[in-house]
Amino acid sequence: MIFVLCGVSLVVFYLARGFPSGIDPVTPYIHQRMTAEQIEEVRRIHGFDQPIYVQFFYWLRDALRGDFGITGAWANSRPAMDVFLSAFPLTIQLSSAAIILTVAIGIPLGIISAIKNNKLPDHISRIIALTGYSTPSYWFGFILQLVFFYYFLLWGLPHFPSSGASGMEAAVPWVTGMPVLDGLLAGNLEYALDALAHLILPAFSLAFISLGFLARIVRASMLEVLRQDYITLARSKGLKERVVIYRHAMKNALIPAVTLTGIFFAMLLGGAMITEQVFNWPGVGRLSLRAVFQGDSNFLLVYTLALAVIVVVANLIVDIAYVFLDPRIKY
Amino acid sequence: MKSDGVRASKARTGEWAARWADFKYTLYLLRRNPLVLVGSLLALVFIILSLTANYFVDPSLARPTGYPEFGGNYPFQRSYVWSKGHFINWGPGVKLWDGPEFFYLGTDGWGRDLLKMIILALPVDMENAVIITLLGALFGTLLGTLAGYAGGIIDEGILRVTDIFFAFPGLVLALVFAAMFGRTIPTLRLAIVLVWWPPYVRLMRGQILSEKEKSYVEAVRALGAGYPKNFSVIQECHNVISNKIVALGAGRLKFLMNSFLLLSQRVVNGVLDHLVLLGMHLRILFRHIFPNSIYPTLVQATLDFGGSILTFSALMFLGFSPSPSLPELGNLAADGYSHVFDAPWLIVFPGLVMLIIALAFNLVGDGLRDILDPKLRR
Amino acid sequence: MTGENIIIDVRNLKVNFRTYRGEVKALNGVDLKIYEREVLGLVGESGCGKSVTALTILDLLPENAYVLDGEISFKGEDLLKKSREERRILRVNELATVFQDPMTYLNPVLKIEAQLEEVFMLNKKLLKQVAIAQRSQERDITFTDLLTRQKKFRGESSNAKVSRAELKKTAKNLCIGILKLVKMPDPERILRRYPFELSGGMRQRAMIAMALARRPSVFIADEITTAVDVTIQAQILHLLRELRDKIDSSVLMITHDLSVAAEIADRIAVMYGGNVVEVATTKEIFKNPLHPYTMMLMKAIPNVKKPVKKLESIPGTVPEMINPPSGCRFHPRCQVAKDECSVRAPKLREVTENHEIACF
Repeated sequence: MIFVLCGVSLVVFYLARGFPSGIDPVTPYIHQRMTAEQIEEVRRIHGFDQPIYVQFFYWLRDALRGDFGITGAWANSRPAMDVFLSAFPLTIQLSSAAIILTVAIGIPLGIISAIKNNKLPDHISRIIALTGYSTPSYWFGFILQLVFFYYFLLWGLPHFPSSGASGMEAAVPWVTGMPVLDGLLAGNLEYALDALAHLILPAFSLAFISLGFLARIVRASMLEVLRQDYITLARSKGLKERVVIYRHAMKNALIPAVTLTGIFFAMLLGGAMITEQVFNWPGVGRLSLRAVFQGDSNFLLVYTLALAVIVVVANLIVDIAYVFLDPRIKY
Repeated sequence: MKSDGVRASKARTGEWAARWADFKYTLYLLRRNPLVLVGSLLALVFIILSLTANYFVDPSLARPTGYPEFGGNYPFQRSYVWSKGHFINWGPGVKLWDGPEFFYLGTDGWGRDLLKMIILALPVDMENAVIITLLGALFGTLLGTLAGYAGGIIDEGILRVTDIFFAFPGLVLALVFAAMFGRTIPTLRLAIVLVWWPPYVRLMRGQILSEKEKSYVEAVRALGAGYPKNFSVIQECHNVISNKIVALGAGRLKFLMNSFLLLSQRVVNGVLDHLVLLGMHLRILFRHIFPNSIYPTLVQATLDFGGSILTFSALMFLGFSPSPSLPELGNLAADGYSHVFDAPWLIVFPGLVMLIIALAFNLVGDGLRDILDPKLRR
Repeated sequence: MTGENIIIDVRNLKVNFRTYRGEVKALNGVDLKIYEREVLGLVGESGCGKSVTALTILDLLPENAYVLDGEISFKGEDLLKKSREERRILRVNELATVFQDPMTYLNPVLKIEAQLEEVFMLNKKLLKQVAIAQRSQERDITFTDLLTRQKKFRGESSNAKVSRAELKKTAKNLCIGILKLVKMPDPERILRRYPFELSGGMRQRAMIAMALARRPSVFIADEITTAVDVTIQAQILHLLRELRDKIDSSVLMITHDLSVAAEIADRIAVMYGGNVVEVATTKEIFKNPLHPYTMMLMKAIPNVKKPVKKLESIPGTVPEMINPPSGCRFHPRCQVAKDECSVRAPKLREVTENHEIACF
């Protein structure tokens, strides 16, 4: 695991700083009114004139102490980690909502597909699932915005807000950083509801893509289970078909699906980038896009590392969950 | 007697006959699955369209500057307009155009007909998708084969490297790569290949590991454990010639030649040994492992085809395109990003086309995956 | 055996399977009678249709199978005319099955307790009555009580409320009782275990318990000794013999092993290629096999007492069910085939007392 993290940071570091065609790493530390010598001075202070591996070593040493460098232009630069942490909860909120939607829609879709295999409900749910899978991520967000915001507005229907995470800023104390939760915790229901309204469209946009994937996997797993002998035995006991499916089949079939959900969460965190851009959601994904364009290697490193850690942790959790869910597996 | 008819048709012995029967069964299952047929049809339509697009529509229309053929009309009056009288009504914010040309899908920022641009964009996108998928699949499969077959440290090393690439969230790697290396099309393709190749490694490696377990590979090894005939002939010749030469010389010269020839014998034998080993491994690889492993890779590649189009256009949309006027589905959509509400067709239609293409290929790939699943076949 | 009632009467049952390569004509007019309280052994080679017959009686055929013709009457009513729901209810109370491989037939993620209890919970009314009766008793009511006093429990209705916890407790007691009945060691602990933690013999006993719990009229055992080794085989057969006296059901013992059938069956029916070709009492069949197939089967069994140099086998192979031989399906391999045999398929007819064969 450590190896993976090192590798990731190495690759990003090298790409971000190692190429002359890339962006000058000194950018966040300078401003226009500095002279050339001052710029060189800054460069030397931060060691940007050293060879790459030396730079990496400096960075690593700082990182292990928690210092990930500065991001942003000179005037409003902040430590990269701070910037990241202030925007991260919002991304988590978005991804969590998306995961909930994915599971809530994807699993039933897959089960229906499996039970009525090759009949009409199967075809319909398959089309829905695959459409979700084939949609360009930015496109769906825009369509949602177009319909639910713009046209609802035109048609005089109650509409969803089109961007941002909340319409009423700073009305509640910053506890978790997630508007919905903060609103609930502070007892400010109006705030929470408003935040929820802002959350629905982007969450659905994000979820639409992955729910198709989940549905397919659930379907495959369920089909496999339904063919097993113990289902025949359950039927031979005279159990109602519904009981056979819910009690006997589902528990077996959902094990791989549930463990996948953990990995999905990690994937959604990363894939939120484009959705955040489209909906102007002030999360970490949007910031990372800006960082890419500005060549902000510090922030990029923080972002990539944090998400890589989460992916690895998610994998671990999934493995552990598997042990708990499937009684056959002894640790 | 009819009762022997079915059994007689299986009289064509050999594994190729079995593969042929298998293939026919696949076709039968394909026929029974209507969605896959629809998908394949659509995919075919798009492939043909993309191949012939440049004959339908004049590619020079993509050039944004200088339209002498428009009779003096300053072309930028036509930007972001929607034709009047079109049956789709986008609402109050759109600019309407009642000039001589009728735009079925509106125009973009340069006054180009969106419909024609979309058609022109098809070959670009399809070509990119093919190249990306091919490169990614090839690279991943090769690495996976190496990892699975060689085992040991090579396996571990390749796995670790693959893990690193797997851990990158979303498109970050592709984005960073593209940002650093410039915005040319080959760079972008390479960037996406970097993100798409890991699944193939795992796929191929898994296949090979399970094939290695199977006992028939052992059997083939045992059978092929002899020297091929030509090789032994070479050996024989070499021995005979060297012995003759030794017999000719005399004294110290003879001693020198002796040792030299002994050495050369060793070398030749060693080389032949390795060649035989290599040949054996290659034969196992090609005749046994590859044909059975090709199905999942094919499925993955088909599914990835749609995905790579989506990814490529996403990169374009985010602003990585080499030139803003390049007719490419994501690029066209990027143009409309700032005009979502007064020119929504710029995003709606290119995205829709992309959805349909990806859907077509995903239908095929998904259906194929169902059909080729060995547990679902009888 | 005569004079007792027929509980299941299968007549001219024809079942086909739709497959990629054509229609598999699995059952070609099966005639079978099962009497009350007897053990009928159904023997035959693999693929001759024994399991298919059982599955058809139970309505557990896969989706691509369908009944072409025939009737199955159970206690006088034709099963094939009933709805699926009705047949399912029959599976709850009257027809119980034990299958071949206990490893694959038990749900791996559910504890034995859950899988056994749900059988009892199927018949909530009865459970309720037992629970109510339990309240007025000192000791726990066991399953054996249920068996012996079943008439007393049936038909009583009561409007008293029984809590779910009470129902579960009663069910649990019954589970322990029935596990004791099938000679399962340490029943309380077994209940809390998962199937993979049990040995093969124990799993098979659990499956038998699940079937017996319904106190069925017909107990179908589909190759239950095939997947276990010989010692466990002996144990299970022993168990079945013991239970046979205690329970009130008929047993349809499906097996391809003649020796197993010989040990436990009262009558034996021999199947070949989708037909029943000979039916007789066990002693009779071994002493005096009349059908050519049965005769060759008997000859093929190596005799421990008289060692032979060469093992006899029946020439030819099992017929392919998509294009089976016309007429009598055995005629290509039959030593005494006549011209008539390739034209018409013979029906079962009684030759001597209680001995029927399908041959000319």
